[in-house]
Amino acid sequence: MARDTLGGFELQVLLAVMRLGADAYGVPIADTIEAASGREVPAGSIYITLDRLEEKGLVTSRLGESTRERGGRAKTYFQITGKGVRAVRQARRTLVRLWSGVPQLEGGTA
Amino acid sequence: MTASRPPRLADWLLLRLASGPRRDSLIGDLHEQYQRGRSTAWYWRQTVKTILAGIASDLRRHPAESVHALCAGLGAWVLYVMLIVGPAWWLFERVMLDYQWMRRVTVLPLAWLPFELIGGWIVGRTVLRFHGERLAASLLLLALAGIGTGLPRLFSLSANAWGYPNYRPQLWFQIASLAAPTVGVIVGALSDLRPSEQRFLIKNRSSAD
Repeated sequence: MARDTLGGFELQVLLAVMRLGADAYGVPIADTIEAASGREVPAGSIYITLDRLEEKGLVTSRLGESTRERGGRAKTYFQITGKGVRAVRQARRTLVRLWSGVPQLEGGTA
Repeated sequence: MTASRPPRLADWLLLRLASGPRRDSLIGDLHEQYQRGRSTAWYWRQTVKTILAGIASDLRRHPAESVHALCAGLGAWVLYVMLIVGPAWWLFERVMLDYQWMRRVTVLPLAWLPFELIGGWIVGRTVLRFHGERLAASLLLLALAGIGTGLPRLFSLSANAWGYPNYRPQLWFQIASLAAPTVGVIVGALSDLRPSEQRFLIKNRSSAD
């Protein structure tokens, strides 16, 4: 089952895909994660992670349109599957359980 | 302010060394962000990080395929040595029995280098043929294998040449015989006439027709 547990970056990518809905391809996924984390995200890491998530059956992909500003290259759109939604819910439950009751995380800002 | 077209060399490297089957979409994403005002430095940073992330991921997630690529490359080298270099060496030896002066002017070592260059090229093409989607990781493993086998001899010759100038021609030959197959592998692996960009354009053209 360890294979089905989500890593930190996998969870971020899945949440970005869920947020973006039908418009989830590389650029907005990177923008969403960068806006939330404040860190520059390598495009290659996003695709590697999405490949891995697709292998696990957590997302599906389809080729989209190509535009001039992309040099005529097609976008690849991603969509979360039911199994992906369940994996995100499971990850959330696990994290919430671990967060609750940790004295250092309650009340203060440090 | 950025130029209208991203660095061609970066695209060329990404097309050949980025991991996985989605190189075209990945490069399209980078182009899109570049057109929106990202800098050339950003583009190069993304290129290097993408290639390095691909190598790390391939070695971690597909170690068997990476080792398979290494074995295919080394196997091609062994076959080449057995079928081409062995007979050629035998022929050189016969010729030099009649022309002993050739040994003194180191014709033989110099004649050897093109063979190593061609051998490297064959290895590079073999790895590209079987492991084109994970090329960077395969080339890294090949480089490590080459360094592992060549460096001890190079180190020992360097130590000898430090005190005895007579060893210096051997040292230079050893350096050249490490460099020649390396250049051959790089040229062979990266000289794909139809990398994914061309394949993509051909596919699109045929679907448009």
